[in-house]
Amino acid sequence: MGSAIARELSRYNLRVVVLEKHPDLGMGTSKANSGILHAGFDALPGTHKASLNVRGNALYHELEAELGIRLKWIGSLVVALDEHDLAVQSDLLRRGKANGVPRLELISRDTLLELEPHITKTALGALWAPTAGIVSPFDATLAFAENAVQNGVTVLREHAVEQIVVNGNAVAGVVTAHGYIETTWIINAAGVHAGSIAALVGDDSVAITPRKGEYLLFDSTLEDCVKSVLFPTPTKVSKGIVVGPTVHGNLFIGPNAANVSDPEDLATTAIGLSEIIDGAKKLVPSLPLGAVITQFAGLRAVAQHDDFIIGPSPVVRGLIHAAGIQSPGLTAAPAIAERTVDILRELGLHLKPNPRFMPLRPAHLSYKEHGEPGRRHLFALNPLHGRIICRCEGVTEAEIVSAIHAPCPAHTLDAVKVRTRAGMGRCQGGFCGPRTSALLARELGLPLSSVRKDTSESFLYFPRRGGHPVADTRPEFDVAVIGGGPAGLAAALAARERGAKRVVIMERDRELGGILNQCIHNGFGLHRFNEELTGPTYAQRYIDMVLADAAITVYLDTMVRQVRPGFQVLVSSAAHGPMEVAARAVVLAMGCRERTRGAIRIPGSRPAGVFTAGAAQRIVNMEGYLPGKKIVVLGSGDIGLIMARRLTLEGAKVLAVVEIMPYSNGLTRNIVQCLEDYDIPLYLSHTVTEVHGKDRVTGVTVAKVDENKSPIPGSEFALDCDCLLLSVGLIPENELSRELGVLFDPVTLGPVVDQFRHTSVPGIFAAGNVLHVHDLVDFVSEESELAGRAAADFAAGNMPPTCQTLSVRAGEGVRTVVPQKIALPAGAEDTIRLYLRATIPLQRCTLTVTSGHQTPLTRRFPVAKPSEMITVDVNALSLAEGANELCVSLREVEKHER
Amino acid sequence: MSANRKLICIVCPIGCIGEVCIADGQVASMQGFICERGKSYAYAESTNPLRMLTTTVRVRGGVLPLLPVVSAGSLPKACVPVGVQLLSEIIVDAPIKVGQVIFPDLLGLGVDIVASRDLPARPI
Repeated sequence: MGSAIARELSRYNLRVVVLEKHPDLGMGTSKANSGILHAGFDALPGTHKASLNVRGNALYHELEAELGIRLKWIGSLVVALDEHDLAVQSDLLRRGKANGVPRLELISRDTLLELEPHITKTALGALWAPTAGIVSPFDATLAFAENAVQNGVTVLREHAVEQIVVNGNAVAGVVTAHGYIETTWIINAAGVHAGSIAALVGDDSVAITPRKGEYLLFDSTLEDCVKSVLFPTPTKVSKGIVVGPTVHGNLFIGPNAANVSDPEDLATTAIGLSEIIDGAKKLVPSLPLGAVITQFAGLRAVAQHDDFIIGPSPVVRGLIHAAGIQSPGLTAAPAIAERTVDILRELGLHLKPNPRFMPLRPAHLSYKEHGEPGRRHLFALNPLHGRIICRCEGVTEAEIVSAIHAPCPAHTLDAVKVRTRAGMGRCQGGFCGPRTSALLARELGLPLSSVRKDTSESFLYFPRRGGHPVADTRPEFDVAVIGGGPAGLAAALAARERGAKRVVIMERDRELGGILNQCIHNGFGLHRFNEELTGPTYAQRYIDMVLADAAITVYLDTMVRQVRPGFQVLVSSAAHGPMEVAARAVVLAMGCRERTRGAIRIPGSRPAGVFTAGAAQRIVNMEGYLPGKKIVVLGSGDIGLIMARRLTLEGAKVLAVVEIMPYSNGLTRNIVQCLEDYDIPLYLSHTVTEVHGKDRVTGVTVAKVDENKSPIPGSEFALDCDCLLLSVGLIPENELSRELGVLFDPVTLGPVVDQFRHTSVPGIFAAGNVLHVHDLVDFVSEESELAGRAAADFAAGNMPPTCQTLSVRAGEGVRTVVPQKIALPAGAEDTIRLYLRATIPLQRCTLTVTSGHQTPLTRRFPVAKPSEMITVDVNALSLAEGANELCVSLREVEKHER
Repeated sequence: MSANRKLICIVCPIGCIGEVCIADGQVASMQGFICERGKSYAYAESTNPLRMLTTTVRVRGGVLPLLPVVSAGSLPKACVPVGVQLLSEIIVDAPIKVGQVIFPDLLGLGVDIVASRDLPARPI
């Protein structure tokens, strides 16, 4: 009922929320009833039931097409077994005509026996109502709800209403199990609980008695037993025990009628079942009881005056009842929904049409209902159609998975069942129940013990002694490595060498190797392998080692969303969906990203054709397209230089590389082999001051800059190009680390670490470009091995206790130094390698490491360039006792000292 | 005929900027290179500059559309652009293993072009 009203309300520009107590919609009366669309001759003329039944029946003809509700207009027969019944039938015929039921007629015994060969031979005749039909009541409820959701209605499941807040005699909001919702209008469509809802505001106008009806359902092999819905002639309390087909080809008998006090009492009873068997056998004596597949009971919500209660609460403004919706409630539902909206309008709710209302919810055939070509087509669209989960009803894995993720999702076993029919067949879930439960667990990221049958607390399975099966527990690792680039690969391998039992690499791209995969040029690995390798080959060597180690798990297409203390690593993976991974130690190896045009604020228009150099590299080297044909590169970082050569070789014209600094930021080798080899001019102390073009870049303005890097007026010149590549710096990608609360170095923009690459959060290590941007991958690998080994030690509880911490400071001439701390004692690794960068280019300089009054190390360098990282080794044993700082500085040797 | 050519040495981080005087295609003299390795670099760079070639070729049936390739040894610098253009025309079939010869004896120079990485076939 609530769903039908929500769908009707979604025609208007309103904010509508459906509050459902259960984990699924339609779990009350809607789910367990006869599924009959009554013709409308039962109710007394003048009642809500009478008018809304006939209107509702007519509306279903439209809804069948609109909402794709599966209906069968098979007609109903009220069977007369004696003379008294025949008299009642004449009354029913008159009443039906008064109610406006079309095409009602009395038929003879012979006609009846011809229509229904299995009917009792003692039948005397029947009232034929061709406009009656059958429907799956859940299907109808879901159709209303899904269309409502499509049109903007929110459905909140497991949101039982606990309190209605009233302000000055008018509704102000509702308190639910999960918080407060402000509203001025409440529709009470709470079924057997409608009285309790009314009572929340002291309204006693709704008194609902739950009246139980029990049913037996037969196997679909009895499909042809009866053709239409067979009623006995009604008594005053009930329409009697029905024998009828279901829309899915089963046969059902029931219901009886017994008032109960508990609105949750859905138990079948021995008395009740024999009552319906006896009743049904009066109509169809030959019922084969061996073909019964299940029994169930539903509750009718019977109001005190026996009619529907549709109207405003006499107690508070804003509360409208749609209560006491017993038979023919399913038939009347769309008409009740219309009536309810009319009442809201009469009460002053301004109803503007919802401009985006879409009445259609396309019907879709199930896999089983398709012919072979249709099934092949479905399989081609989704290979999960290849696995039949419910063999009785022919339901595929794809159908179940899509029900679990539908707009009104199925999160319980019964919710899957009523949507897909998995478990509805003759084995009643004996075969598919465990399989469907496992799919629910998989899709929802839950252990099987969290899967429920229907209600909030209806857990199906208990955990076994000794813990969950391994497949069901969150995967647990000694070391989790975030990032599968060179840093992550080296860290994972080193962690394994150091004794970590289980290591995982989580990589967001489709393959391991990180940015090396797009760096197709050579020059990698001189330090590590004593060879000049291309980027992909360097990566391949590490990938081969990782893949050869069965104790390293690799998750590809997997993004780490958050690392929580402990460590819970929350990921989204293409293969596994949202998932949680447990790890004792974590290595952050997420690498870096490129600075963008926005970050350096180049003015001008924003046409297509402005790319960062790395993005262009991916387009050229991985996807096989060019970012432009006439190119200007801003920034002389290595990627920019490499791309200048690469694009030239691919047939593009690189007009210039423009560098704001008076020196290049790239390696000399790249200046020579990428620019000079191809006569590409390098403009030092120049920058791009404006980008031109509307759709596509048409050119840039370049200007000379002064010593403060400000453009010098009058020095501008134009370059006609269709593409601007930016190679203006790299930024460590530390969003995850920041959430973890690690301390940062404001200059490297990476975490502060000690020589083990241990961050300020115990158990969290960082290495590679996430820590500080490197220029040689060889150093990334080397540094990551430190982090991997230390993470393995941490995971095993073998981390040496730190007695003292020295801070390492970047002194004169040094821009950055990593590590920023030294933990003492230094453990097995006495030699501590410092990685540093000069602030400005220096000639003939001395690097000095001072500690207190001592100078444990001095080294001379012929040159120091900011673009080339310098490494020096300090022996931990040589550090002064008592000092708490180490200072690293770079000074040019004075002329007279030379 | 003689000409002076400025050269930056790339052998070590110092990056000496020196000058080589070429006369009749031969190195007549050089200055500015401070070590022997630098001098021999400058000599080679002036007489027979060599480069590695790296580029991509198109792949049929692979998990990726392009395969990175590299020359198995260095080539005369002037041959690199021609070689890249030649390789831009070809298509290879997956699967491919790292080091597999993709194009033998490029331009008759006696140098093979080999795959830089494994490239598995796309699952059917």
